[in-house]
Amino acid sequence: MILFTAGAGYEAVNFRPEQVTGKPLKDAVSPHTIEFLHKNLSGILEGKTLTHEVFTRGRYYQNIYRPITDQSGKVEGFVMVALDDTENKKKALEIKRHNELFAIGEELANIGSWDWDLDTRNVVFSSNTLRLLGHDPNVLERSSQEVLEWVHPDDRMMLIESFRQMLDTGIFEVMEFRMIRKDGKMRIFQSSSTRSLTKDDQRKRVIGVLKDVTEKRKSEQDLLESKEILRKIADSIPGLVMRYVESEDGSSRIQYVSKGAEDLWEVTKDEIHADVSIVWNKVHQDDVMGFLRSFKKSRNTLAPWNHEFRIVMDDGRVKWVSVIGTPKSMDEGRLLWDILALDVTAKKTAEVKIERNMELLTFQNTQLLDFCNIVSHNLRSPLVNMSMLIGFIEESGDETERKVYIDKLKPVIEGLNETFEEPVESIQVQQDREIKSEHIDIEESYAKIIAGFEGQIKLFNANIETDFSEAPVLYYPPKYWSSILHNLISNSLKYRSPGRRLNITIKTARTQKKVLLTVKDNGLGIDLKKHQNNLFKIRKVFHRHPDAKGFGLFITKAQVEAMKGRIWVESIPDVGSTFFVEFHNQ
Amino acid sequence: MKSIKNLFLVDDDEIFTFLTKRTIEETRLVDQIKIFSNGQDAIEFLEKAAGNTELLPEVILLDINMPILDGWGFLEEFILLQPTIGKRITIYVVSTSISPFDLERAKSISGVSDFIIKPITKAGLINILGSLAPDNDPQ
Repeated sequence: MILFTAGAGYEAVNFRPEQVTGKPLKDAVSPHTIEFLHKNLSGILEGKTLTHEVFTRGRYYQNIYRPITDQSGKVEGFVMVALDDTENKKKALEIKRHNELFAIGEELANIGSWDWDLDTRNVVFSSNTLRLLGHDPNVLERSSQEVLEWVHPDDRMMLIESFRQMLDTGIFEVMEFRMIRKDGKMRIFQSSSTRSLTKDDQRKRVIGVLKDVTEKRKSEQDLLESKEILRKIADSIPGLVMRYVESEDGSSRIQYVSKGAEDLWEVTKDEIHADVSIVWNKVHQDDVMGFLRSFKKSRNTLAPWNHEFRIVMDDGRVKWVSVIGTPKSMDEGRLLWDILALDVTAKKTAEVKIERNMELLTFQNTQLLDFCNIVSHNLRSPLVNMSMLIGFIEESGDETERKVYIDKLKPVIEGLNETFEEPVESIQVQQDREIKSEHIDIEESYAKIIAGFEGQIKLFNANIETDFSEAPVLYYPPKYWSSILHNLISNSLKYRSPGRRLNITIKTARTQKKVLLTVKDNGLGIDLKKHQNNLFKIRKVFHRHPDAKGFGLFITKAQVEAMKGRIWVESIPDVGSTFFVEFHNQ
Repeated sequence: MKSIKNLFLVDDDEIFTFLTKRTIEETRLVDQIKIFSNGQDAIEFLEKAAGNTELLPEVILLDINMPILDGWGFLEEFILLQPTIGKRITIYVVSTSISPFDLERAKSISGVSDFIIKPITKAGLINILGSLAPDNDPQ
């Protein structure tokens, strides 16, 4: 039973003395206290003074139990003093928590702290510092001498010198040095420190933190190396590798240009850096439009830029370049361009060669088919006739009859001879690919040709009009030109209409690099629906005319096409024909 | 015994037609031989004679390489004309051509019975004309 309560106990336990006095103990104290007394009451009663910490109702208490003895020394009760220890307890816990947090922080940040006492020359480390260095984390205090031995031998002098300087000047700087862990592994540490003058004992101290920066330095080194590798690769590419930023106002800044650019573009890297337009200004005049079109398209759509074009060197040499570029949109309307340009001159030259060979092969193949046709029809016919005639001569017993057959042999042989000459002439045109072009005065050459037709023109009372004013000069092999014009005039005269006076109009006209010759007549005309396909073929005749042989237009076409020109005809039967010849590369 | 009344020879080669006419006559298998020097003349005749079986031929020996209208042109027009003619006409292409292209082309035309490479012999003619015997032909 509680006999008496006093002091600050009121506030501490939050009840009044009169409420508990005379009541059993269990009504006044916490269950923890009751539990403690159950266990230890016998000790108190034996005369021991006990203390006990209790946490109740959100506060810490230090309970002191002191026995009370009567005069004989017999214990007759005890005094319990409850001290409110909450504030002290909280402070201690807070410090503990701070220390724990600091330790965790050090561990997580891979840093350690140290405290160097310049008087004792000892260093006190945090346990994480020792962990980072691979030493026993429980022995916190180490001698300066021991610590110096952990430093990489090559860095020791530097470290000592730096500390001396920092202590002298009072300016502490961040240092980086290597340390050897206990397991022999080298690590790089960064140390920041500051001098501290503790107020307590006035001893000189330097405190600081250590940070393991080995991984960071290693990745920085790796990055530097990979950058170097990339640069070396880019520089070893035999072409232009370039990265540049294009601003909205059209100005550009080069971030990188490879060494190969110097060989391909034949300008120095410095020149390109100074002004990127030196690169684009070398584009071949004829390729500029296409170049700009494809470049702008890529710029607008941000699609990869893929283009082939020519560049012209200062001495006039031409190179073919294939370029691949990727535009990447950046802030403020800027564009980042990564560009690779390769020299494809050799490939291009080969392509052109192949193309030319293909053209030649196609042409020759057509000629071969034509030739097969000539052999089949034009050369075999007389042979067949000859063999048949010989057969009849052999079988015939009658001399007069034999004479008839023998007489028929003669024209067959003449025809055969003629047939031989024609293909030979046309093959000559096809083989004569190196024939020289000259500047021809059309008026002058026309006068010579027309002189040969003077008799026929008079005889047929033909009217010929000419107009060569628009294109008075032609660049062409003179032999071919004469033959072409001769054949076309000859055709107009030959296939004149018997019903009307023959009119022939001959004109030349110029369009850009071409000259167009037109020969128009009002003659018999040709049914193009029927004869379009055969018009220019050998031995094709469309008129019941004794002089029609089917060779003129065939040879004319060969002479036009040998120089990459074109020939075609427009015609209406019994109205007239107009032949067009287009001469290229004028 | 003559089995064929009319045979057309369409060819511009005068010597060939002269000699072939002779050879056909020697076979004594044909009554009448008509010669046309190009496809156009032959087509014009057939157009006029359409329906007149007496004038129309049983057999045409057709050359390919001819002026004005060649053998191929003749065949194109003949196919259009055929339904109005009213008589079965057998056409042989007879050409100097040894070109496989010509042979292929002739074979692809349904109206052509065969492709004969010149020269044409008496034995060959008997073979061809004999196969067109009247016993097999209701006409």
